[in-house]
Amino acid sequence: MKNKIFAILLFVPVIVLGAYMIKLISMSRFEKVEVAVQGYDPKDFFSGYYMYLRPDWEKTDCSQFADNICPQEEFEQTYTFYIKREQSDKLSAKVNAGDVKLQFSYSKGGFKPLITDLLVDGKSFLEYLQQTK
Amino acid sequence: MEKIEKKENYWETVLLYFASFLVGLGMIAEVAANWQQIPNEAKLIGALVLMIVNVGAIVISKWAKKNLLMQVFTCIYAFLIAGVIGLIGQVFQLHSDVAKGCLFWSLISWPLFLIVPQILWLWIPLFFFGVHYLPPCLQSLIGEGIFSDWNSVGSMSKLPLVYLTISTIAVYALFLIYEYFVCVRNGKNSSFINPLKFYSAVLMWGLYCRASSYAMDSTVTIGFVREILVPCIVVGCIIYAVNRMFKRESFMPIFLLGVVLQWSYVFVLNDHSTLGGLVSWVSGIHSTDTDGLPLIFWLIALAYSWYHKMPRLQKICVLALITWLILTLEDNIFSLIPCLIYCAIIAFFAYRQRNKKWFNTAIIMAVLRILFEYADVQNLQYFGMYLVGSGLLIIVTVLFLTKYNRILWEKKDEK
Repeated sequence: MKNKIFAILLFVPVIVLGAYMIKLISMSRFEKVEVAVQGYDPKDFFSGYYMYLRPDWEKTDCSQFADNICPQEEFEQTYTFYIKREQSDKLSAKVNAGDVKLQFSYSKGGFKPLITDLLVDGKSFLEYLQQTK
Repeated sequence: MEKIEKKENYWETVLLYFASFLVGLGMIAEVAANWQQIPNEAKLIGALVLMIVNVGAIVISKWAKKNLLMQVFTCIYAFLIAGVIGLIGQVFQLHSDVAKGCLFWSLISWPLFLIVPQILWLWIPLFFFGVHYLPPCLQSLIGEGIFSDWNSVGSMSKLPLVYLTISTIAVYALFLIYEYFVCVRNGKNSSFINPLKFYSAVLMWGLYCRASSYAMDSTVTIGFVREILVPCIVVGCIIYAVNRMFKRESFMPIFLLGVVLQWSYVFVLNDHSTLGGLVSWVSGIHSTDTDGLPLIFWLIALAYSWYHKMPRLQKICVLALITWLILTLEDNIFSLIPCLIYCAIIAFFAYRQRNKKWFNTAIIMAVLRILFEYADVQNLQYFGMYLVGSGLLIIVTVLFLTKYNRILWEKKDEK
């Protein structure tokens, strides 16, 4: 009996994290929307392994949302995007020029929009980096 | 005889915990290295499989009654959970917030300290650091007014008291639960826990974590010193006085020293006047300004333990000072060789005097110094591998020494 409780206790983190992963995976399969972004702080929007980005609603195509209105309040004011340092260096010119968009998985059901990709010239940043090698 | 066995286990345990700490940090570094070539699904499934394998290793080691190994696997598991939380954040591009991650970790990994009580010492500071994140969450539920000044220095007099009181009661309750589990496991009646001891420990941890969170984003000011250092000194003095009154040995002054020294030092470093220059010059003997802090701290702690006749703390201080000496030397071959010779001399004399503890210490110090020689790895991916490798090497060395020591000392005893 004690051994069973012991094993169950150990599985608590596995179960919680597994359930959380499933929830996030299902959230990432919602409809995709693209939001134009710009560097949060032009002096230092790359910090270590993150990239700080802020939605630019003036450049965003609002026709992809219901009633052609961008639901700004449903999005955060700033986002961080995990990226390797050497990759962020290559993308800095594009971010400065405002040619990047964040792709979100978006649903109106009260879920927070989830970042699914960083688009550079309409392509995934990984694809873009491979082409510009 | 029993005492000697206990001391040996203590030595092994400390080193094995250190090794699991390295393995755990290595795993987190591997996650941070952001392996984009591996598909996200594979990363997530791999992480879950690794967790299940780790759970299996803990269960098997418990079943085989390998208690020390079980503790090592549980400690690695604690870090693995943190690594998987980081991985989820990375894969799904969630907003990075260390405090939020710590809180999440402490909420899901509490079963671990019921199994291995030592993990509580990792759990408590991370929980406190994580609780720091709670007020903004509560703000959205309760209202703006109450928590609006949480992050300002001036708020130290109001909310933190509420925060510390509530969290102290919570942690005290956890201690009681933990005590109950330990007593049930050992088949004993629940013993009395000294409330003052735990309350003071928790209070100091709270203040320490609160102070540490400031270090990340605040400039040290006079107001800060007044609001952080002065309460620490007052609380520490009261605890110290009460403990002395009941003639009880207390580690509280060491916590107090840690807090006061850390913040005095940071404060002095921020001051670019003569005093700041002097501290920089003293610590400049070694590579960075902050290198001098542990030296000052451990020297004072050593003096304190010597004055109050606390032999266990004395040994910890001596060990920490040797570690400091070895690790802060320049990482080139010319400083490596004297260090190894130094370790060899200690090992030789320890063997002649039949002092197992210092013999083992010398061997481990030599291993650590060799590992330190290769620690300057720039690439995060390789650094993670280096940490995992180092941890595993220490685990193997400790297990080997434990086995080899028995043969070595038994032969000597026979002679």
